Amino acid sequence: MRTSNGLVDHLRCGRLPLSRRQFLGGSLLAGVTAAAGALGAGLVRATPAHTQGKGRRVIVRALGGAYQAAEEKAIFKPFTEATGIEVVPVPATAAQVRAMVESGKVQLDVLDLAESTSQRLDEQGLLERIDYDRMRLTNSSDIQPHARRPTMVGNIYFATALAYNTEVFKPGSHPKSWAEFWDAERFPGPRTLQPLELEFALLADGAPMDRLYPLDVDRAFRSMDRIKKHVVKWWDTGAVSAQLLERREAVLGGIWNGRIQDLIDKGAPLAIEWNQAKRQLQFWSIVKGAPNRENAMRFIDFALQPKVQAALTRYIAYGPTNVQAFKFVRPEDAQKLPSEPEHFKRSFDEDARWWSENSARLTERWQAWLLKG
Amino acid sequence: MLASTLGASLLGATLRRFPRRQLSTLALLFPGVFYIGLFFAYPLAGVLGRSLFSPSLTLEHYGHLLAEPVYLQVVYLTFEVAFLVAGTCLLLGYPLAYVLSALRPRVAGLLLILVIVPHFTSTLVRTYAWIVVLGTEGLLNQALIALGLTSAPLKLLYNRTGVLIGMTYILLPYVVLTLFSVMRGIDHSLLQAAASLGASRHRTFWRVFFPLSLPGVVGGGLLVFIFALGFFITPALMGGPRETMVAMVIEQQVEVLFNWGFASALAVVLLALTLVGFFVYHRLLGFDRVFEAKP
Repeated sequence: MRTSNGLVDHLRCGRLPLSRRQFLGGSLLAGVTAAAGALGAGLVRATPAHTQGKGRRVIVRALGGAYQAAEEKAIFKPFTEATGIEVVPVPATAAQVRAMVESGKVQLDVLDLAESTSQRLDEQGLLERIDYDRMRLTNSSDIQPHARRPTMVGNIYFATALAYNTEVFKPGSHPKSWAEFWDAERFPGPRTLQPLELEFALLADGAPMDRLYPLDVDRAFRSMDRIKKHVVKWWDTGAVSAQLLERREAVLGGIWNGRIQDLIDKGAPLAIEWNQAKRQLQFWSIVKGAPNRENAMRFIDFALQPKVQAALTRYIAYGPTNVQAFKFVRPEDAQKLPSEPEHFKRSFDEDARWWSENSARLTERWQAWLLKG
Repeated sequence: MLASTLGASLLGATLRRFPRRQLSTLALLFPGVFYIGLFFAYPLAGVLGRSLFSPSLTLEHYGHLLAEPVYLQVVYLTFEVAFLVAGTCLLLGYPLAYVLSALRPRVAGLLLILVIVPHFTSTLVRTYAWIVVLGTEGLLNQALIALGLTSAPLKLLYNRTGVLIGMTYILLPYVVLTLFSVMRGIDHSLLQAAASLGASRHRTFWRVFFPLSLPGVVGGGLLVFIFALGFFITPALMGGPRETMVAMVIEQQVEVLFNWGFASALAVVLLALTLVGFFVYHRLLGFDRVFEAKP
């Protein structure tokens, strides 16, 4: 018989190619969550989710940091209170999901991944279909049409935006476009960017924002040549980007708006320039063969409700995909979101389909470009 | 099922070939061999298989690896960084081990614990700690500027310097421990003999002690070199583009591009080159010198 103890289940994950750090982190997290759940259940005498079979839980891929903390408050806890289903957040990467499905030992139900990553999983046939017809809390026609796909459904809008240090550049005389970000003479100081920000390179070179795709790759790389020596570090995880700006290793950066907002809210001398920000989508999806498929479906249905999506914006500056959600977003939170009308007009959508077709080739070219000269 | 039957019959055949006296040896070897077989050889065979059979028998992945200069460049950078780290570890570790080996055993033991204790913290945490220390406005630069030793902050992060500091810090204990055990085994009457024959301390060291400690230098250096080849966290967080290591490219292929066949080919090439290195090393110096602490 299988036990419902989160820790034991996570020890089974040891057979999967989790790193020791992720594995320990995961089991610790699961243990703590289970303990917290037990405590909460004892106090309010609600359904003691942890004592029931594994049918009473849903395992969700968690990202850590400010985003996970916001999800706990706005989605996980209310969901458990409403349904008695325990939410177990675990760290996992797309490659681990693939390994789970291939080995037939799926330990994860709900995924929360960027569009291009979700798409790649979908192309490999690793995702379940989403039953939009069976949604009871969410009216699926309220979800933005391009965020509503057979196997994945848009969860939040985020943006990669231009962030600047307000002690170095006074607001008003700061770089207001990628062209000015590229201008290291007028705006001196170390910068940080994510690898392969070809859209920003093209905008810096004067390409029009509404006709970026398909990207003129050669032109983008030529533009990148000009900024290369001013980039102190090409960041590849959100934590690194935040650290670079917080510790002033970089005074300008292209980073995720939620990460910057989190630093600003904590009092860091940083600000966001929304002009020419790149809007991106994050998606919910269900792993093929998920052990708690029914609960996963209920979880997604719950999470997409207007009020739940609106509640998330209180804790992190990532915007709703449900058009009805804006009614419930507080004005002071709305102005921090990528989908705020003024921000929306001045920013553009990433074309994740173009990227998933081209990223293998471009990653290689990028690596070669980095190593030369 | 087939594999276990095969394994059992193979084991039976092996057992029959051994006289009873050697059976105990075999029994002692079994756990280790079993462990390595199950957790190293078997997955490794899987990686090799994936590099050749994704999707069906093909040399495409290896061909691509050779055709795109960037990958060989990364392999070269990996060996270069590993070599520099091994060298730095030896330069710093040798004097430390030398002093430790000359102390009374109890004192030396206590100090060795101090060398090892940092290893109880995860590499990730220690790497982040270094980032705080080495940053442009980090502790070290602030101290250097306050002391007037430098006017502009030194660039100690996101470059070769940062990676060497971070990796040397993490790998240094392996060199110290290896050197320490070899130096402990050196017969001190040989040093006394040299001194009694009129050799200066300098000469005694270079002509007697140092040659006798060479197995430790070779062994410790090799150990660190091998560890360094597979490093990921430290070069990813503290390095720049020119510190891109094979492990980082493998991660990218596995996680971002889902190209597991090519990632496997990269892993196999790294392993093969390491083995070639071993072989050359063996022909030049001999492994008996490495693993035999006796001078």
